Amino acid sequence: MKRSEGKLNLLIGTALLSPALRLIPGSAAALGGTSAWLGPLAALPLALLYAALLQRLRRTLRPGECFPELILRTLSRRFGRALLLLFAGWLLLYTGFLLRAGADRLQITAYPRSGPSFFVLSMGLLLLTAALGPFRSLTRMARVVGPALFLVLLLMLGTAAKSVDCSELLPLGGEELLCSAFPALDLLAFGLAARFFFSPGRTGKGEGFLSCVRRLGLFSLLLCALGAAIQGRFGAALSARLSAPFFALVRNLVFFRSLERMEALVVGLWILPDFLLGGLCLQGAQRCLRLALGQRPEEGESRLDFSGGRLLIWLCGVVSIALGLLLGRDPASLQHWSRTIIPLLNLFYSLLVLPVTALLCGRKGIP
Amino acid sequence: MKKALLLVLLCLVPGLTGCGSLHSQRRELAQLRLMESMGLDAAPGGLILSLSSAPSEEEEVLCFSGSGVSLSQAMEQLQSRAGEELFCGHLQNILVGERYAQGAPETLLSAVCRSSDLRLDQPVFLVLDGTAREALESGSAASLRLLSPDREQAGSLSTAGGILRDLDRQGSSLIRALRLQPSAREGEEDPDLVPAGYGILGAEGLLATLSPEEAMAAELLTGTLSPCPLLLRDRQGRAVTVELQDGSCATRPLFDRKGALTGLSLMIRARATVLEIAGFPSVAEEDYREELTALLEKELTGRVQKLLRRSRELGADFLGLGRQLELAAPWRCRGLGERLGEKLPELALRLRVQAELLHSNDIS
Repeated sequence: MKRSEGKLNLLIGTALLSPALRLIPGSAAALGGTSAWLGPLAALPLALLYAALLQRLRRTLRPGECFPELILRTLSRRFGRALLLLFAGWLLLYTGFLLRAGADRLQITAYPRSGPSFFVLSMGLLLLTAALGPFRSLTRMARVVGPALFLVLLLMLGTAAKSVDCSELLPLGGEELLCSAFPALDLLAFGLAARFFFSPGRTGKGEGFLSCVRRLGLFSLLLCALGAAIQGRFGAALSARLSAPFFALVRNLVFFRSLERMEALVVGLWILPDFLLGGLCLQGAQRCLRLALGQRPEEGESRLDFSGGRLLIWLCGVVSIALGLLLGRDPASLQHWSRTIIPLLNLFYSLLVLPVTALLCGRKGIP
Repeated sequence: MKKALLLVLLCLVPGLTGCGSLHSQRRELAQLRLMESMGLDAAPGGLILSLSSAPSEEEEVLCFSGSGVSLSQAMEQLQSRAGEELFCGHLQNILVGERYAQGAPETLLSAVCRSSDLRLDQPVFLVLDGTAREALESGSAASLRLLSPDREQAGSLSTAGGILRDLDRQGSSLIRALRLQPSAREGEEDPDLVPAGYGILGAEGLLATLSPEEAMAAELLTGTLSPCPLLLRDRQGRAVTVELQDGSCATRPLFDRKGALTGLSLMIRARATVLEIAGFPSVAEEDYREELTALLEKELTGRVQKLLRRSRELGADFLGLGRQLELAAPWRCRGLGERLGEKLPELALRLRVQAELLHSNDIS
């Protein structure tokens, strides 16, 4: 399987813009107060260590082999399948949550009189097409929309920079800084885990560690700028209370002293990273599930081909839509899922289950 | 099959754009009436919501009022009475009547946060000795544009977001106050809205009001001073008008030997220019210059002391001094931003004002 690392990085980076706006600085400010905006930089050393570990573990992969295939090759049949089912379950749950969180964002920012069901269903069906299609269609889409989204984000941050009150970004406290690192660590660890999960083994030299440091550093800086722009405008306490602080910020922006109320456009644009992240998770879930049930997924299968256990992809789509409809049915429950359950699950899988599995595979398997 | 699936998906995509979808709140531009100001007043068992339209060349400013138990109910009544859609997406300001502010202003502020039409940087004004409805009906709300803080500097005082942030952080906040007074224009019956200092909001409602003189001291302490004239009397009894250009306040904590906070030291710096003097005394002369500077310092010291006394009496840190202390000594004053209000009465205050006369506007 051939997959360019640069394209995969762009896909993951763009997809992460969706949870980034949910977690930063809202969750970070709730945990770390005024130090929240620096959380991503505080999380960077741990993320780099994790990246180095995963870089090392990648040596276990055979050329063209991805992580799910490695599990099946190296671990016992039953244990390997159980692990793949666990990963599939996590990814399906996360996809369901993404559908619900995306619908909630549309509801609170642009469509207050609507319910989440229509949005969950529409996006769920779109994600199903992404899972039915080849993985490269997601990377292609990321190449088209990624630069545009980063540009829009930078434009918003640049416009908001003028009204940042620097005193809102102080004081900084060591303990608070560590607490506020968790949401950013959650994001970065998930991104690195996704990269490890989807990136196939190579014969030659892959992306160097320095390049990884550069990418992670830039992404962390972007997250810091995002946190600073929002916190500098609303203060830490209010940022923590707002459900969608970034979109509240965009609602307040005036461009060139004449253009305002652009939030609907930006909210609309943020469906794209939702789609990319959801597509990525659903692709991963269906792959794990099919491998666990003894099927051999191939790259380039036709969307409407029902052979080779491809009906399971439809099942994954249905399960994630059902989860999207059932999860977080009231605001308090959704906030609990958003700020506690999902970040903890992501950290548990990204920082513990995935590297431990890869270590076990490395011990038992010879590349 | 493939084409059918594609068609179904294409039909779903517009649902996510908001253009005529099942869930869109589509608004026809021709049916919208653009509202400029919103007013809120207390009513028995609820509130009165008033909206005034934006002035245009073709039409006079129109005012609409509705009442209800909540803001949404009042808005619903108002919309049904108006017979057209009153669009609040571009509101310029919100006026709050004094009686409404004495209730629970957080209701309004949380409504602003939750509304998809209203913005957090919406300027909010308190109307003293009158109602917000009267202020809107007087047609003078348009003049508020001059008073509204620039939206680019929405972190400053008196925006909905700023008030909510201060209430969260220090338990009280300043809100710009206005007062209705008879029009200065000849033949004009409608009263004018003029600045009337500040109101002090606490979580339970309006705690007190600050006169324009105290307001100047508050702006000096919060670093939001805008140029304003100040009348002094020199030793010969001549009236001297200076214009305060800018000012700043450096707040430092004072600790005892055990490290406990015992007081606050406030160092205020103000810069002013001479606008008018009755007669022609020479400001270039060192003695006279020093005399004016000392007079200015004395005047500012008196005003700031009076304001600090109010803050101590109320037990409310509406000036954000706790936050200043946290910034000055982050380790030792941690969390003081939220607690200073209750501690203020026990703390010693050391105040020093340093004034500087910049120039005398090209005549010495």
